[in-house]
Amino acid sequence: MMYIMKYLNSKDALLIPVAIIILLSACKKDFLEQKKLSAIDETAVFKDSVRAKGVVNNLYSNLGMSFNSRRYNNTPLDAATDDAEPNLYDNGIASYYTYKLSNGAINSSNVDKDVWNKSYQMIRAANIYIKNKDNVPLTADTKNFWLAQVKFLRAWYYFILLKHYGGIPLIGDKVFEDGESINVPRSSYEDCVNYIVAELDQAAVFLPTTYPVGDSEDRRITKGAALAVKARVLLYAASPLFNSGARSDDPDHYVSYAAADNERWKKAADAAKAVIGLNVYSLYNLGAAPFYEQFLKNTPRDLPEAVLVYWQPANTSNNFYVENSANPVSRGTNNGYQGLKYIPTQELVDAFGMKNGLPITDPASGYSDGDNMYSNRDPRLTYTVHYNGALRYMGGAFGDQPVYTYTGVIPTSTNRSVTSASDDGMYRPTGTPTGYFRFKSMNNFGTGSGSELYRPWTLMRYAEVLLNAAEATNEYSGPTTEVYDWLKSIRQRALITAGTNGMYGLKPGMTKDEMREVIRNERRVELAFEEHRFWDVRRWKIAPQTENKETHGMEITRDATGKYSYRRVVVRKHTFTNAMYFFPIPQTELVKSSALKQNPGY
Amino acid sequence: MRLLFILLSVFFGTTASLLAQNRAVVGQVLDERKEPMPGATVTEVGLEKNATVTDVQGNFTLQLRGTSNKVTARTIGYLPKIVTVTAGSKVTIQLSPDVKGLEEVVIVGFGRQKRITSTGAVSTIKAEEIRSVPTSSIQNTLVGRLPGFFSQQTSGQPGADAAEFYIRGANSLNGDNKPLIVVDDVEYDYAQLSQLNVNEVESVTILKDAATTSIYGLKGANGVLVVTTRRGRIGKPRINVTAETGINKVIRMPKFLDSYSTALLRNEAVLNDAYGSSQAPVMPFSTDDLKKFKDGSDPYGHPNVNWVDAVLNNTSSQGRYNIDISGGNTLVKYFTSIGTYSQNGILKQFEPIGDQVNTNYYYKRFNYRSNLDFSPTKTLKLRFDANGRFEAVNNPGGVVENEGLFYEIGSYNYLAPYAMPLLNPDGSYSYSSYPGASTTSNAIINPMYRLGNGGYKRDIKNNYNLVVAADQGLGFITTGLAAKIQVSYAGNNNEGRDLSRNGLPVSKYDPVTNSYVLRGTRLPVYGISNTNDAFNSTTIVTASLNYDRTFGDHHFTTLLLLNQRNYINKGNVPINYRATTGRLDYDFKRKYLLGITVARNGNDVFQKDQRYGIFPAVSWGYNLSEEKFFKKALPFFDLFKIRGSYGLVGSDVSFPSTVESVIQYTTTGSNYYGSTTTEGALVNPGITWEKERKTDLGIEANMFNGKITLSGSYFYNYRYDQLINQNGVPSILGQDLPKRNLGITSNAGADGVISYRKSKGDFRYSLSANASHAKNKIIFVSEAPDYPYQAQTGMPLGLEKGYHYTGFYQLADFDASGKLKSGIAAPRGVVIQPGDLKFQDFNQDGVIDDADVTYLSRPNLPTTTYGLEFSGSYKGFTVRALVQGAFDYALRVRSVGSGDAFVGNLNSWNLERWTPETAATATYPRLGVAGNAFNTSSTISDFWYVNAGYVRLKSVDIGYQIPSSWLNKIRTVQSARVYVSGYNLLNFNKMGKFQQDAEIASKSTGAAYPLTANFNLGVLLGF
Repeated sequence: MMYIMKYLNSKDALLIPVAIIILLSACKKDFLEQKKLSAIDETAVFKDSVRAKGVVNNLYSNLGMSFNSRRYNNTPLDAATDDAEPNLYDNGIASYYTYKLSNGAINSSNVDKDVWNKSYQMIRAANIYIKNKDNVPLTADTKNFWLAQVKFLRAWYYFILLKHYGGIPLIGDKVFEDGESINVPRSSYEDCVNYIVAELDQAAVFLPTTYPVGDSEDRRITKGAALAVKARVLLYAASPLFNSGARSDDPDHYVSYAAADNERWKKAADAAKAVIGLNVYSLYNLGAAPFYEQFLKNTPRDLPEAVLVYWQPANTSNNFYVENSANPVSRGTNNGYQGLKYIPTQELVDAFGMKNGLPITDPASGYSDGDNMYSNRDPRLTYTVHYNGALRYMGGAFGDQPVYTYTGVIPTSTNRSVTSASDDGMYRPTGTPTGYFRFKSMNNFGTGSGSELYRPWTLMRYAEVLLNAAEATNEYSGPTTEVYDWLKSIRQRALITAGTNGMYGLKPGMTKDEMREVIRNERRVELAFEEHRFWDVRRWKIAPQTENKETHGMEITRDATGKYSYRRVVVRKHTFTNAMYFFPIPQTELVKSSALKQNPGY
Repeated sequence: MRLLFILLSVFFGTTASLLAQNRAVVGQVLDERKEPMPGATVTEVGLEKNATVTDVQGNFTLQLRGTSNKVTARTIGYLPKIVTVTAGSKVTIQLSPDVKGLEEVVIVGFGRQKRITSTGAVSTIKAEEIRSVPTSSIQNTLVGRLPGFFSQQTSGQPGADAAEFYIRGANSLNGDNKPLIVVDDVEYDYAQLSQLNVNEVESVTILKDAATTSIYGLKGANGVLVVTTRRGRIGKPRINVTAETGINKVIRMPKFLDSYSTALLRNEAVLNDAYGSSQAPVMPFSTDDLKKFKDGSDPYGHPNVNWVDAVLNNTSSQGRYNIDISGGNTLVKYFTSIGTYSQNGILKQFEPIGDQVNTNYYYKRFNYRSNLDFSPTKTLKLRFDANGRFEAVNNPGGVVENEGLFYEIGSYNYLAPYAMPLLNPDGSYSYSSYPGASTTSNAIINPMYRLGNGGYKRDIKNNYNLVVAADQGLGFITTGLAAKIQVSYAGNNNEGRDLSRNGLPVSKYDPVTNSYVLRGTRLPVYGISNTNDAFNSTTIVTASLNYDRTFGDHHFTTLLLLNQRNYINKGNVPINYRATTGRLDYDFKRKYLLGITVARNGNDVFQKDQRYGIFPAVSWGYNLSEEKFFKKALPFFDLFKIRGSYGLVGSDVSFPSTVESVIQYTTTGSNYYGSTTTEGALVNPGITWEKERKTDLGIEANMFNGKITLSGSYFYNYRYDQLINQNGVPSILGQDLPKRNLGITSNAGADGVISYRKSKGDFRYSLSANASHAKNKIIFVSEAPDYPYQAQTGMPLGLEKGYHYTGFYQLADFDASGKLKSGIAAPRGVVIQPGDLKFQDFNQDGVIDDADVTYLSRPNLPTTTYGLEFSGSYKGFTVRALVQGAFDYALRVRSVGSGDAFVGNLNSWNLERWTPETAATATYPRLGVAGNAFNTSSTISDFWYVNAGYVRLKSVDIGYQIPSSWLNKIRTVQSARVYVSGYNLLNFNKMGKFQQDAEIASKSTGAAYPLTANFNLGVLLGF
């Protein structure tokens, strides 16, 4: 006390009030307690129907992950087939996943894990919803409707896994926690198919067949979507890859059925016919080029053919989504332009028949390589690929102008369409290595900004349902009238001439085997760039033939007088090994889970 | 100025003089040359609180209150001296310098210690030794001078050339091994440190062991770098003016092949790529093209341009100017300084005359500082510091490549020699189009046009600091007690200003038709955008109690400290930090030493119940040289100390700014179906800081009256609880996992320095050698390696996975049809041909694929670095030179820097390619354009790893002090020194082939601004 008194008397006391204030403020008890952040946890989400609905909405986000035109390094899965090539002029080509997928370099260490990871993330999100489904304050009807969507979407993600890997671990409604031991074995292929089909059947019960026009919910899935996916699952399951009896290298039946059974074709056919029987879908048949225009529509009521649609978010770069990785550079450089990333092959072009419906290999078709080789072709060719001289909107006062893919002497001009080959031509740094560009589902924009067009991704359309029905029916019952009719309706919409016999170029009285080839080619042509070829060549077990050879391009050389000469040139040799029917289970997953077994061949 | 001193003297001084009584001793303190010594402390023996400080003339007056009739005079660098005095008489005390270095003072956290009684591992450098090194960043001057200091200067760009540095290497899996930087008790980051004006700095110290870093608790594990700035001393006002100007010269400018050679090799590459194909390839260049490239007969159709020469100069200029004023009396001491620094870039000038848009690289900085100390009473000291910096860093805006201009220059895709002519015949600019050229529309425009007219990217940084402190002696409570309060504020305001325009109009000249093809018609106007805006501020309040007292042979120093810090970064959640720290140092007869530190630190990032941690450390020392038997046996030792420390230190760098206790859902997204709700990552509420157990053992010795000094340490650091990813959990979990405190690493090594000092007449010199070694190892990471040989455990930090290179595929590996013989491992998916890179097949499955990658090579940070320093003086001449080197590390070159043919422009290394003729001597794989990715650096393999290592003549400084007799004619100038200095003068390394510097960052794409050697001429005038 003495000290303090003394202290107070000294002039040093000046410091005391300052010191006390600073020390008191410094010692403020809650100095480290200032964070009060609002938090939303699981309970809060499912007490609130708007937030709970957000969980359902989020499940739609990856609906198109496998279909995506820019799935791997801005290329679609089709670029790993004989339909298309990743752009070989790109320096980074070797790292393109689609390049590895078609040259045999795929293995369990370099396999892309996008599908494995993303699907299980979506399945977890679905399971969280299912765990909390009874807490959401909703009427029973709405609860059922939302649960049906969740079940459909979960089944859809399982199906994506199934087509990549064969049987995968089915985890039911389980939501794993951090620290929980996770060691789930794969389920057999059969169990997976049965599970997915059962889930789709359950979902279909509570899904509407159609939504009223203008309904705010009209972009959600329908009963037809559930049934159509079921039909596709069953078609795949009935296919030779899975349905050819036991495999000695697959004792657990992860990638095959234990025994072949022709009745599976009937199930597939019936499922597809059930969709047709709903009588709500029809082939889009409006305008001068219905095959082309159907992909440019962006409201549900203009999509009579769409069965399952992914409504990607609308924004400027999505509105140029396909163009940004496939446009010829003379018409490219729209917002978000990635450069030319993949191009169609000569093999795809050759798959298109003539306008009269005959294949180009048919002597009666009137086809020969040369100046007229793109004339009088199946009209779908013009709307699937750009070949030398194909028209594309140029911008400004130019209107539609040719896209040139030739090499050789390029005329000089201030009109960029005339000099287009200097950008787009073969052997040019920005040009096409095959002489072709994709055009299907791309809008006819000009150079520069162009007007934007929002387009959803049609994951399944009625034409596929018809082809699924035709394929399954032909396999089970042979080429019935039904099969012919379905094919004719597709060819009619394609604007192939009916011919005097009204057969649209189809040979009457085909055998089952002949019909099989026709259906397979029709599928390739009609559904090109819609994520079918990659899976089709595998399930048909024709990949060892189609994916083990050199692909080709069309080298067109222009001389100073403007005359063209033509040469088919080798683009790249593809390699297919028997292991490649399936993706390898990522090695990183195998080492983390002893119950998980690898696919045969890896 | 003088008026201010008088005012301050009147204000604070008058009351003090009223206390004068009768038993006064008047005296003067002198140094060894009998010059007055201002600022020396004179204390009455037996009454330590009765003390005074000598004035400008070295005079003092002390009222004797005790009975000893003795006073002690002491000052830094001199041995203290006790003399007997008589009241009323005048005494003269002459001090002798402390040649044995026993009284030397070292900086430690929140204080200073005598070297003899210090128990920690500390290295210090006085800033005057580095002040004339011509570089803008203080950290660039430290390498090779401080044992335990590791650094890498990865760029020479003005304003971005500051080295990254580490204390005793790296030991954190989290990648952030940056030491804590404390400048006058305020925390700085790397960038702020590099902005500091070395003229304002007094000393730089690094704290390396637990004894010295544990006081910083959960911020000290990476070591601490402490900078103290200059303060006024008692003495007449002294004005120093420094003016320096110099040039920077690029050490190694890349060189590329001309058009003819490049075209020839392009043809070769295309031919190679068609190996095994059923059709012959189309050659990109015809014989006519080649002829025209060779004879230059068609300069517009077949150009041949050296873009390095076209765009860059070899040298640029720099300048540095400082003025400082310092001095003081017993009431106020001041140090005030302003300085500017400017450095220009090596870009040639392309901007149109009168354009006023400076697009070149540059760095401009203005520094100011005012450090004031007031002593209003005998026991109260007040401190008021204000300092700050304004700076601007400029980059050319016309560069389209993200990695910068130097990437473009090295890149075949952007600037092949035949990309375009330098200028069209009419003087306009052209654009490029050639096989492999870039496809980005803006990138094909002539770079000279883009660089001159594309604007700039400018970063403007403002940094300001305030420190206010009061230190009150509490001698009236008990002798040796003092309390201190300090409040500091540091703020940064950064803005980016980008001026840019794209789509410059260019035209291509066609020599055949003598016509131009236009591309764009009008010069667009500049667009302006603000980028990289940043604001952050740190407020630190420190309150401490110090107690320093001697009881007979027992000497205690204790510190009790409360420190809290509030950090605000833009709109982020502020981070609060609080520490309570206690420290006790004890010595018995300066012989047996003991230090104990306990820090209790908390950070509100962490959950409430685990917010605080305790970080204790204990250290000891034993001064053998104080023992009689030792003195007898080894009398030439002035000092021989062994010491050790062990303690726990933490690190909270790179932690999340909030740690959640429950899974958070996000409800802000939306898609075409409506708003979306997503589950966030799983949470780990138990997140805590990294911890390191530091062990250090050292010796310190001074011999032969301080001629030889030596110190060295061995250390072992064990770092655990490192927050890392959980990699062992299957992905079917379906959600991201939180990080856990699982990682463990260790780091061990040694560092030391030995110096020798000698003087003979006017000739004085010293030699010093230091070396540092640190090697780390991963003890535990959460991993699930695909194959056992891919495990990271047991490897050093920072390695990459890749293939092990075993040679080239040779002709003998192929059969007659050109197919690879069976049994020879090869990658799938590519046609292997002779001259391709061959890799080891680790799993022996005959296929080279991702299953064959392992952790490769050595880490990028050198394990060993050393410095040799010489300094000497003769009369007015002084010389100082530092040789510095580092070795035992590797760096991976890639892309345009490495000579990746046709990604980069072709260089002399590519000429050493494999061909059937050169199979025996080739050092580069066969050329290709897109054939085999395994031949390119995009496939990581140790083929691309370079055993780096270098020796540099790092800095040289030769000066001459102009004799004062000459200066008498110019009365106002009291001293003058002229000097020349250099930085990075001679460089020895094996990186020539890769066209890069040995310190360049690993995985370098060749995009770095080349390092420069700097030459400087300076003059220092004292007024």
